[in-house]
Amino acid sequence: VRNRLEELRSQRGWTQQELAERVGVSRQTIISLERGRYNPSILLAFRLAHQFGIPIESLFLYTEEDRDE
Amino acid sequence: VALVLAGIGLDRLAAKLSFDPRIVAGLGILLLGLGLSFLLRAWVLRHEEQAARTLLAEERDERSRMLRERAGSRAYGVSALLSWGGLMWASFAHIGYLPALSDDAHWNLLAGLVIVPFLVYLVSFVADQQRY
Repeated sequence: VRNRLEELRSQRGWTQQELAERVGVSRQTIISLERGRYNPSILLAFRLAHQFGIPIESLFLYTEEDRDE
Repeated sequence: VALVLAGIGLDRLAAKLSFDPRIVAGLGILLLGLGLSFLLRAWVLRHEEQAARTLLAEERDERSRMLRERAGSRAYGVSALLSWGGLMWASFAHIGYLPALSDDAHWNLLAGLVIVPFLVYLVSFVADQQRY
């Protein structure tokens, strides 16, 4: 699932480590999420969306290509 | 520490035991190592704030948990397969369909049951870290 994590994080001037600490994961998880290699659990997705103050579907972009993953 | 001392004491004092007292000392060393690792972790959590945050984040991190679970699952599968193979061999050897395992072969099988799943765990963990 594609996401706007890097874009929104950069807009707010947060480092990967800062964002990781805000949502309680490791920096490596943020890196994997930004590279689109890892799909988060629904709880982490909600925590991330909450941090950015946007709905979850504005942060994670589901396409038909993701259906087979 | 008590087990290590008991093992050493038994080794020196009791000459004719039905088991090797070094097993007791070995178990003591294992528990001592585990205890020291727990103490070290507790010390880090109490005194090193940044390291403690990193440690807790790593332990609770859902991606790390997923990697550990995947690696553990593969290691368990390999462990079960090896155990089943060993059990089958021992069973067929008992009724004469396969050659009996020597003491060395038994030892190698048991060592393999410990080492191979551990290696599978490590390789799987590292490979999945690159992937996810």
